[in-house]
Amino acid sequence: MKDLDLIKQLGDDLAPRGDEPLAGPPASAFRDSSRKRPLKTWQAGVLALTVAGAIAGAATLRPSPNTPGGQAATPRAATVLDNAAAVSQESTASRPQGAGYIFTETISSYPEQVQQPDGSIKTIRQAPVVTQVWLSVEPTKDGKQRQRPEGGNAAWDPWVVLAGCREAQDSDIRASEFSRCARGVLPASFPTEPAAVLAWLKDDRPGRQDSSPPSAGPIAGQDALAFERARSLLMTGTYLRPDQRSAIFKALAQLPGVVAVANVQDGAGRQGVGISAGGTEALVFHPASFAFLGTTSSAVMRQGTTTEVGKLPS
Amino acid sequence: MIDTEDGAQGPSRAGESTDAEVIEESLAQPGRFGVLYERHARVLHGYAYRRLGREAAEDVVAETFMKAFRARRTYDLSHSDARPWFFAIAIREIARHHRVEQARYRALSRSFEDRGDEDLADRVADATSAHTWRKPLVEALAKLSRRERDVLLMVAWADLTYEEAARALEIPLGTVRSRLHRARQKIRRHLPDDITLELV
Repeated sequence: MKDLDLIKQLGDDLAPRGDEPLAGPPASAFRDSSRKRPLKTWQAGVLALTVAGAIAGAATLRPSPNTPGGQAATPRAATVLDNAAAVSQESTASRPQGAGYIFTETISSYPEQVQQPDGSIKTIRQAPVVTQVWLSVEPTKDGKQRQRPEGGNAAWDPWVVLAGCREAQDSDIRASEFSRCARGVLPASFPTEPAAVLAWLKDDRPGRQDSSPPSAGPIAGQDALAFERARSLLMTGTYLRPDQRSAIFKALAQLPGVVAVANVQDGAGRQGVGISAGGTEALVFHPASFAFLGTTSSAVMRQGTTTEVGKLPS
Repeated sequence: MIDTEDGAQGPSRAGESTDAEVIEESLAQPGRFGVLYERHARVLHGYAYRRLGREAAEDVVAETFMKAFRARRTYDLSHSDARPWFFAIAIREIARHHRVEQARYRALSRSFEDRGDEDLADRVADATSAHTWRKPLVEALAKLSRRERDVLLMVAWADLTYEEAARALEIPLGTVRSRLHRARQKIRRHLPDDITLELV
């Protein structure tokens, strides 16, 4: 029996009885209070700073077709993604041969909400963490990962085993099942036509309908899921062939609601142009070459092939 | 793991508004937020109940929904499923009850030892196996760091995927894996040798 099964069994023992009623929310729970408390001095100061920051942020982040003098225009999202697709297609990165491992190194720095002594929540950026992942080209083999704080000579955390796909079915792998196990490469059946890739990312299948209506705001429903899955594909250490990577970018270009965001930084602090679906994490591309850099939380620093786990690419 | 069998709980189904849509609608019609209570309260309650017991679990659920309601304007509408967001808030509430949680583990450990807690003892089907792994397991859970326990129990007791746990805890996916790995290693070290464990 697996240790997780024991923990689940303990959870079953500790669960509330099925007949235990759960108190509903009080009738007044979900009402906006009409009473507005006056702001204290420090709150007003924080609000003023926040508004000023938001205005400054909007001025730099919002894609602007009419660019003020001296500043390069932010291209449209479709342009960025089409350029990125073209650049990816021309990539000459070495392809994995036979057995072996795909090595990927990323640097991540995530925002974290910390409760202050006065009860307020402050968002700070976590210290950058280096992650090295080795995923096997052979899908049923386990991969490995290790992490350590960036900079200095910090020791690596213990190895983490990434379970391979024990029941790999190359012919029928669904997006919704993709992240259940670690894959160094995509199955040969992975589509390379943008429309087919988009359908795969949305996990479209006969009889399934997206219930979410088109929205002028941040994208939602299957579109948001497709964006999230594309992000996951690009970031979790799987090797993407140039035509696969290119097709993913072209597929994202077809999503209504994705926007380009100027002057963003990836997880390692590299400047770039972002592609956002309205969420907190945007994809980041080099502003000139349109090479994929990572996301606003994580940066792909290098990827290559090795013969064994723990060995770095030459 | 989490009870959703009555059909009235859990994520939205085909044809229903997604959580994100409900949150958006609730900005104009606050009462719509009650739909999310119907969908997610039982799951959150079940999770908090396992960790804290009945009384604190009810507090956690009430506080979680009140805070979520007040913060709904900040919700990232690109995420159609709000369950990780509710867990993000609930986890902070549970952290405020850490003494209650530790006391619960101590009480459970004692009850597995002397079977003094008849209510719980009645619910543990196999006394022999309870003595072999439940007590050391509870003690091991108590010794985990809060961050490790949050990840482990989100995956084991709330059936969150690694991606959902990463979103709920606002940490990278790789860190979820690391913490989960460390937590499981510590758990295994506490379990009796005669229990066969499949190392992952």
